[in-house]
Amino acid sequence: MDRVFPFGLPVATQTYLVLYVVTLLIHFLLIGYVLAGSAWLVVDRIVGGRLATSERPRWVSTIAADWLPFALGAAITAGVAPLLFVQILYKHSFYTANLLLFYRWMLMLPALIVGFYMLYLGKTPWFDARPRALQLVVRIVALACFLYAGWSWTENHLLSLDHGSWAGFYGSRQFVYTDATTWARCAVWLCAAMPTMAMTMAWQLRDRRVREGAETARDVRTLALAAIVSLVLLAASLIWYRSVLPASGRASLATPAAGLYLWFGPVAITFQLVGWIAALAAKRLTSLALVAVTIGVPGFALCAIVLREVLRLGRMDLDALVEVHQAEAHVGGLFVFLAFFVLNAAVITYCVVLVRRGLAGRPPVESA
Amino acid sequence: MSPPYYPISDFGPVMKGAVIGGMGIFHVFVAQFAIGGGILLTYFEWLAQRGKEPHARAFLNSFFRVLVLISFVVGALTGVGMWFMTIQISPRTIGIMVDQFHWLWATEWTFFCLEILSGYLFYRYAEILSGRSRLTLLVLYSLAAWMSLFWINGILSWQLTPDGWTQSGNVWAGFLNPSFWPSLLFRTIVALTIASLMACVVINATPQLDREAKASLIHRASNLLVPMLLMPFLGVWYLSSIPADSRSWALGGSAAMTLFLTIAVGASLLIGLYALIGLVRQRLYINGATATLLVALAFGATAGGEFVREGVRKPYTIRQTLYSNSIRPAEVARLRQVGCVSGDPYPLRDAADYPNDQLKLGARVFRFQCSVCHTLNGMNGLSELAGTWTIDQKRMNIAKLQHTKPFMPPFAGTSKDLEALVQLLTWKREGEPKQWPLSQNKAVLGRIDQWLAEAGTVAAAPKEVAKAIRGGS
Repeated sequence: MDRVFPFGLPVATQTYLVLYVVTLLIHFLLIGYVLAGSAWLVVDRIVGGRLATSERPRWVSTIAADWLPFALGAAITAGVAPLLFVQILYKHSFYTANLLLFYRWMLMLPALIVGFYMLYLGKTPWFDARPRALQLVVRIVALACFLYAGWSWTENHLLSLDHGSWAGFYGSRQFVYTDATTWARCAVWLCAAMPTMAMTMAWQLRDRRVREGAETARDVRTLALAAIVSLVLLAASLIWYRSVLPASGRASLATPAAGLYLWFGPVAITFQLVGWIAALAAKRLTSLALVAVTIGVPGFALCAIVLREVLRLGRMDLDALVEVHQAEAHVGGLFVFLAFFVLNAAVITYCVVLVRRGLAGRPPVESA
Repeated sequence: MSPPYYPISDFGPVMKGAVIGGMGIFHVFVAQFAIGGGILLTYFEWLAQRGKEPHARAFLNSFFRVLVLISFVVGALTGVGMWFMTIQISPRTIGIMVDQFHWLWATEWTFFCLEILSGYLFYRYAEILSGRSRLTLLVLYSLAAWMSLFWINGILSWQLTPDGWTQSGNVWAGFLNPSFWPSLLFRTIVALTIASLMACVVINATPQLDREAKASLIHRASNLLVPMLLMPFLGVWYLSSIPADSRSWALGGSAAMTLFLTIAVGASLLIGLYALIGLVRQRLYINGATATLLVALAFGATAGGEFVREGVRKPYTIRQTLYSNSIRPAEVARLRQVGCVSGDPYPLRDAADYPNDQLKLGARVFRFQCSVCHTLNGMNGLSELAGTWTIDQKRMNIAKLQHTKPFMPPFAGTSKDLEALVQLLTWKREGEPKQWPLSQNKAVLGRIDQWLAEAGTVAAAPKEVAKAIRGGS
């Protein structure tokens, strides 16, 4: 990998890698919303009662509770594509990690189902009528389920890279895997989730203000503070992660494949910081703030995902992988996929436009 | 050519096929409910807009809530779960499917996105949208859900009837395979049936509807049961499209397959007769309990049908391409020379339990070749299936496995591998004594080699299989 990612690789590998990175990016933006939104609702149940008054609704919590079930559904749907492409790219190592973790890995599915229903439960009148302690339990259960899923994916990814440990791990009957980087990686993804949620929430708050004239200044301030703190913690987590990365990993990051992304990652974090500081100063979501944050969040996520792949490719037998990808690229169906991708993207856009037209001048539906 | 080795999980006394089968049946049922549900909702929206059914709107809201809460959550996640479970049971099978059809799977994903988004927009905003917008969203939701079936049906039916693909390797020859259309049409009718019966349950459970309204809605919903009339023809078409040996097993050659086919046909017949005579022709009222019973029958029919569809593929998971135990036909000859576990890097987890190395080898051979369909002492356990055979019977029957049982793949290992497996089965049958002698008689190994040579390295030919079944052997 002597050129910036994904260049310098054969076309087949490049194609699958780009599709994987792009679809994983979409998935991450949604899952970040779910994870941080669920965490926000837990905190809201702990401190919200003291802060809230009937005249001043907590918009971030209201919107998060309302949209989280859809966001999770969308995240899972979006997650199907990277799940497909990771199998094409790294079949043997991905499958092996799945098999080694066995029931620990499979438990993620019931956890997600429970988390999903907890989110729906949080939108019901029944939930509103329960004592705050019970509401807190529901919110904590949902968050715990999503944290478990996130941890499982990190564990699976790291185990898939540690080829040398597979036979010993299997023989030892272990079902939990950690290495030197596990907790630092988890910290990076968790800290990145809050600014990701904050970006989407910023647009949702703006929409509320524009469409309904909602007073959102206090929510913007809280959101901006949370995002800034998370970004500082994210920077600290990245330093931590680099300090525990083995020498081979650091060598991979020193290749030309990683260079551009190592440079743009901190720039993307800076964009976000500038955006949120501007919002704090103006006490509202200015266009500058929204644009800066909207560039910064996907920009950082893209860099993080690409660097993750650079690290992974550095630990793989690249020649063997390339051979497999070239064989796979000969199967038919690519143009059918591209045609339906464009067509269905257009139809999805049309659906959204249809609803936006219907929404124009009408009150929102809270109970959906 | 050696196969790739994966770590193999131990499911204890539970047969792996039962686990994936159970999850698969549940997922198929929920997914088909989502597809039929979309079509049913579109029909009811159309009725409401034309003023033909005054209570349709009230029903729509409650039914869509059920659809979303069940299919969007459990349906979507069990879909992902099927993927993960298939990796657990047979990573090689799913790997080949992904290799061959990843662009079509990716195409299905685009429809899945449209399905989820249009469905959620309807769920959330239906009350404030115009009639035309509502209908548009529902039509798109239904179309996307059905197209999702369209794509996945091609991939699943290819596993049994890959015909043209086997020769050409062309993805479209595999996708539009002989059982594609009968399977697609049959599943579409099943989807309508499940949705219609579920609608009857929901209608009865909707408190704001009076008896008259419920009766009217049930009558409308039962219209979607009329296509069941085509099921016998589509069933015959499907059976005629599958390989002769597979058909023979379903039609009497295998007692289990025939039993499950009978359950599927019988349950469908009961539902069909009740629906067409009672609901459609005589316009009977159906209460919640009866509707639930019919849904349970539909689940039974789905379970029976899916069991047969999976079962008649044996000894393959992908016909002519991959045996049930994840060995390719072309690999058998080499494994007969080098041994089936000589390249397996994964140790036994319970190595200390075996008194000698030969039993340890037997355990590894069992794990690699047999454990996907069999347990040792639990469900479909070899100790029971082969327990009463004499030791020489075991040797010969396993060496000539594809002829002993035509739905079994050929044994893919050396005579030492086979003898180790035979010793393991015998040791298990004897109650796992602490001491067990090694069996290294050269004459025995020579006889096994001879039987292996006589059996050959390929599966029993389809015609031979069909003939053997007709002959009752």
